[in-house]
Amino acid sequence: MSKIILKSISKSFKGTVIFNNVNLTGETGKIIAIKGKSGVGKSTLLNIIAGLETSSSGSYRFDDIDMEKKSLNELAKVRGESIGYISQFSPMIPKLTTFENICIPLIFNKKNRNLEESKITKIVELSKLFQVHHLLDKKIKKLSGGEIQRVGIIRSIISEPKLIVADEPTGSLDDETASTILNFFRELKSNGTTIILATHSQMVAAQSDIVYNLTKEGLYLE
Amino acid sequence: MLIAIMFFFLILILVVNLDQANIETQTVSNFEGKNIYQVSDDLIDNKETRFFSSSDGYDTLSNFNNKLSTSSKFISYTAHWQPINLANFKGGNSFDPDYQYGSPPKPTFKLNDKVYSSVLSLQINDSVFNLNHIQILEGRKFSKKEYIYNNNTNKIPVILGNDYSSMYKLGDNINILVYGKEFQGHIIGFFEPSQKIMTSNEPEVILDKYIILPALTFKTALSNYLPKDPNAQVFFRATLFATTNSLLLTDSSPLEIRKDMDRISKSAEFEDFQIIGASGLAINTLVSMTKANLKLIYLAIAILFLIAMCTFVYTLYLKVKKNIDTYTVLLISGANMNYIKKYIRAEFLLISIIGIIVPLIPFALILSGSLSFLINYLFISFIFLIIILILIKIVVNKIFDKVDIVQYLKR
Repeated sequence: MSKIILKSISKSFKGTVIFNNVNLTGETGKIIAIKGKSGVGKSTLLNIIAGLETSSSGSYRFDDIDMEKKSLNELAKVRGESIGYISQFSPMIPKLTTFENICIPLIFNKKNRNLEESKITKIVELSKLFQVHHLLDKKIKKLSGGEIQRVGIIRSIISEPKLIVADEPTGSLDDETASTILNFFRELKSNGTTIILATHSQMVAAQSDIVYNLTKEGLYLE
Repeated sequence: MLIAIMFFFLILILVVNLDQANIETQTVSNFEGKNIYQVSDDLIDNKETRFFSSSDGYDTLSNFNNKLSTSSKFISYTAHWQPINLANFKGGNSFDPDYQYGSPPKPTFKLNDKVYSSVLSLQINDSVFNLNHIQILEGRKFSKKEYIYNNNTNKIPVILGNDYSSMYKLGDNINILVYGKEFQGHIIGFFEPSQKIMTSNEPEVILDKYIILPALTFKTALSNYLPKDPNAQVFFRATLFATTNSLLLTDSSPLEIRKDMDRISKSAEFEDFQIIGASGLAINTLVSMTKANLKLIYLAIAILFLIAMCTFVYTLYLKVKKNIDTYTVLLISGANMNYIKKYIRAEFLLISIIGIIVPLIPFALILSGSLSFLINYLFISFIFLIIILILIKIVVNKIFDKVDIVQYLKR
């Protein structure tokens, strides 16, 4: 089971302090929402949690791994094995199909490297749930923004990560689809997955277990 | 890609230049494994008339022939068929060249109270004796001196085929007409029966019915004694052509023989010839490659290498910008930056490998393939490939110092 502990995390970029003194404890199977004004550093904090960048100071433990002591290359391994990432705009590899794009995290995941029948079934089930099953064979560039966002969500969970980091996951989706995703997140958390997401949406925040507000001075419970 | 192909094509030309002695190409070989080529003059019709319009043409061709005969790079082999006429000959039609090939014999004709008949004849040089191991029944072969034309006498030594041995004896003189010029042929020998030689036209000629003359060369300037009468000049032309159109026997490859003949051609200032056996598409392509100035090739390679590098760097930069989404996907999916950099380097490695292979395709098609050449080309290309990969590695690192993929996730 995954547990996240951030202590006194701060981040500066080119001499400018983005945020200071961020403390967060994320228990297994929780949905944690981080709110805050635009530009306050929500994405940066999520990137630190996902191991995409390092903090300037403080300590971060994930699943008994001291993330601060790991290099970016080692963090990538942790990410490949245990963390799913949903970006605001869900980048895709344009030359590949929807199905192939979904499968990419499996390349970096030891347990799932071989594409077994059960994994294919799961991709089909998830794509049905997120209403993109009819697009699996299509080149990704033919999909709309909303469809791409849903494919990005499927991709982030296909390797069954312990932690999902989501940056504005419902930002470009309609209410109905956003609701489907939130319902799915609740299903994931019941299976022990921890979800940390950044959002401006009151609806998303309302359905989260813990809601933080990020400011330059730190992270505060709402 | 195009720059890579052009760059490695220049490398190919460089290797051809450096490696020409080792390039294996198809040649005809005989005479104890030696390669055989034939020189064939291009002086036909009007070109011939223009060339011999002044006596300089005779001297030029004579000079060329002398250089051919004395070259240490090959053996010049002259066995040239020629029509001659023999005075008061009673041997019958079987000695007539036309009759030999199934046509009616040439009619006899009268000149200066002598009746001349057409008979088989060859001009040969000393190599023919040595390489064919011809046996002389009686008498001797031509001495070195007898191959040199002497304008002060109309006597010429002749060796007769065995069928003549019943009609003439050693030391006899026979009157012959060679291209209209009257000679007194002095019989210095008779061949053993059934002696065979190879000529330019036929792999095997039996000498029994032949009158053999020495292939004459002109040691002093031919223009000094060239007759004014154009009809009288025919003999000199024909004699010159006999030696010009020699076979060349050598261990040299077609490419080497072309280089040797180019040297002779330049020093004799005679270029109107081809080398049969060393003039195919493959050899011509190779020769044109070797004619390229080596310094220019080095310069072109250096310039193209710089252009290739600049293009690679710029293309790399554009490629990273264009594929930023792809790299972002890989990064959030668990790839590290080293993996992404390797991925980019692999793409450029593939382009470079295609650049190496593409110039080899036409080369492999026109040549039957030379392993040593291929190894040298691949070795030099491999060195450049390593340099390119090191440079690309440095450039990719520099680009990713400036382009932070993680920042793209915050758009």
